[in-house]
Amino acid sequence: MLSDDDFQQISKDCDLQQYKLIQEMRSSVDHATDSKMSVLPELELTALLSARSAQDNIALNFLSAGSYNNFLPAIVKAEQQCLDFAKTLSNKAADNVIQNIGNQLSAVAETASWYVFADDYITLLANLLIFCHRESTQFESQAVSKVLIPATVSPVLRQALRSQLKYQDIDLVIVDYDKISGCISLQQLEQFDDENILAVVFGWPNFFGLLEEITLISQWANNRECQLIGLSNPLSLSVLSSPFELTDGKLDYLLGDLQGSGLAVNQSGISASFLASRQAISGELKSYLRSQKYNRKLSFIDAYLSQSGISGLTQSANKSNQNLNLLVEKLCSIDGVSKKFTTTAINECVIEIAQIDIEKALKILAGHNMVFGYLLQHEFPELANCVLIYCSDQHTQSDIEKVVKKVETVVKNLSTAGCPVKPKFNV
Amino acid sequence: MSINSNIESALTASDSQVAQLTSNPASDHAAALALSTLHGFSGFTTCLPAGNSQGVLECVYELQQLSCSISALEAASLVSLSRTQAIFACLSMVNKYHQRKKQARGTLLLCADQPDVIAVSKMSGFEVKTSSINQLEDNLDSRVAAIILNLPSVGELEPLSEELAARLDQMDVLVLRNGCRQYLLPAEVTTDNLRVDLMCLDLAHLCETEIDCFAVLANKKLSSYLPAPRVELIDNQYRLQTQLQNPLTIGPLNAAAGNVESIIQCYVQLRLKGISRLQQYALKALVSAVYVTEKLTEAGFQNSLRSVAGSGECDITFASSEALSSALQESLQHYSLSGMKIDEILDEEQGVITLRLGRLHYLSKKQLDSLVELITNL
Repeated sequence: MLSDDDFQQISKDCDLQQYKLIQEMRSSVDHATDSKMSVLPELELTALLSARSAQDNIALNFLSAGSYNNFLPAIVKAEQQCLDFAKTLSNKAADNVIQNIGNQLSAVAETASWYVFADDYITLLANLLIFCHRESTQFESQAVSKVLIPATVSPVLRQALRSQLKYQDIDLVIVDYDKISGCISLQQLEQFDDENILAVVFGWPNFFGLLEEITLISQWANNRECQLIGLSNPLSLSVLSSPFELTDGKLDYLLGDLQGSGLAVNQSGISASFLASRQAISGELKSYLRSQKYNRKLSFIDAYLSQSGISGLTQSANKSNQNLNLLVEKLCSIDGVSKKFTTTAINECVIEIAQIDIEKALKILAGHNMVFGYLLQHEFPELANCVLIYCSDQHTQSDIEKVVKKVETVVKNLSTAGCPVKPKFNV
Repeated sequence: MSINSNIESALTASDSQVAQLTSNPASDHAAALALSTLHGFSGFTTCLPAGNSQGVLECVYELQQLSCSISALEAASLVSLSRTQAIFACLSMVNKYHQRKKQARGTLLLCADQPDVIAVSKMSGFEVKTSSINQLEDNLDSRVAAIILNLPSVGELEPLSEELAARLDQMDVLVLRNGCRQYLLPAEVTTDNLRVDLMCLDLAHLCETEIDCFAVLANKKLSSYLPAPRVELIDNQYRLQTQLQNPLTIGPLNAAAGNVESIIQCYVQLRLKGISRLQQYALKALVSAVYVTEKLTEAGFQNSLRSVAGSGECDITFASSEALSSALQESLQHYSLSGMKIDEILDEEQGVITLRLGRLHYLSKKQLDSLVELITNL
């Protein structure tokens, strides 16, 4: 506690015209920072940030890598802009919002056990794995610590999970995928037949937008009595069969990000998440998983679902996939462009553009204010010249034609195969 | 104890100056909200090419710089989404620092009341021992990785003696400062004698924004270990420094580079108010909180008051009833009209309601008196 002397000192300092102590103690470096980033009136700051925002406006964006730029109704945007600085939700009201989201979303995976969390989905997954590991150490003589996570799960998720679990006795093992189908094969899993496995984690769909052989995986996991955890999102689930049904109840948990249900792209993977399970989870697990009670973003998700409903999600996902199919079909008619994997893609698709400098091609397209997909070769060296592309429900046929035309020109200009001038010497 | 007359007169004297200096909090909040949701910023993800995100990255970079300026530390990372993540990042950095130096350090000495740190330490493989500052030297041994102190503030400054600081250096024990209070460097503290290696700073609290935003700050010795991705400026281009470019980092903690929306809100608030004005607010908030606490004690609330003087906040607990709950909501609307959130009902469980009084720096002495009157009449 403050002493009376402290109070007297503070009281003197409260004469703000004489208040200089903070400024005096600042080093010259701080002064430099302050002068570079001086205090600005709202008018000037608005001009500055509007210019920066305009600089970042992308005319045509076909990059997703797990975030969804689907249409948000005006009423949801209005809710987001609503100045409710003074409004504080009571615990009861916050619980109602969470409950309401859970009730609405439970229809997409056909399970009543649906829980909504304010934490990001990677934290949720890390906490779930820690809980499963703790349970395994309680009931088994030898702790089971190996978690199989396929290379077809988002690389960012794998890295962040590794950071979060670094000091736990949990061993994350990357399982390779089949290079033809783009999915994990049973043969890859069978390498671990003789080992004790805590859990298998897979994407539904996976990072490449492909649907894993969920029935085979679930049978394998079930035979080894390990936890089976699927990663998904409501947008995908709204157009897919319930993974709980497809696995005949062998899927233990399904979890993922709620960004695509009413939040902007920049909230991808960080604002709110869900966990669905085949049976009601224990109160102990629920409290173990929940580190934040509520954040304001949950109200926007609630508003979106109340406005659009599950049918809105389904329409949005269907339109995105129609656009994606059209884009892929048109791109594949260009010489040297093809689909990389044989499996049917949903939301996103990997395409290969052979015999060109792909980084240069993407830079040229970016120069035309088009972001043409996510370059995979840095994280997946075997996928050289491959790009993960996406369409939202907001893309129009004209957008698709525009990007296809531009890609065709770039491929033609950069393609060594199509170059009429042959090199004279072998360099 | 009667209220210090100096405080009372200071509050009265400063009211007019605060009114001149204080921009309208509702207006600042509206600006932060509007600017953080500009179209170009809403579409940001870390997967986008840096060339298409220069505007966002510049804002993040500048908030990193401003955080360094506030804390007098070398480097900042804004990626943590929650207090738990920020503390976990700090403890992971402590771990990595000692592991790289091949030092077996498994103990944290906690010199503050911080249950968050105790909870997170289990996830970071540390054993926690509590100690007072006075007994710190006796508890130092070759297993201690770091000591954890409160953030410095006028209320609770924990200065380290020169001898102790030298001993910590000699034993290579790190100093982490963490807390959720109003951050205010008192006059006697300078960058030279503020002994700190790592800091966890609650930017959302400091800048009065709604969504969590934490800065993890480090001195030069630990800056490479900060969580990824941080924004760096190379050849006039802003870019995200990932684990690929900096293998020393403890890695990413989530799927993004922090919550860009809350980062921009904090940035807007800092650019509108300036660091020194925020420090002035912190000072006024401390005095106001003490004033309200003293007044409520005089009115007989001493048993239900939990004063957090150093944080500029105080909590008051009432026995819960539906009538009281609605009366509270209704009465406090008065204080919400000017766009302030001075009230927060924390807990409606176990038969009690806890009301947190914070952000009191926006209130004049007359308004503080009305607030006390309102509570005493409930």
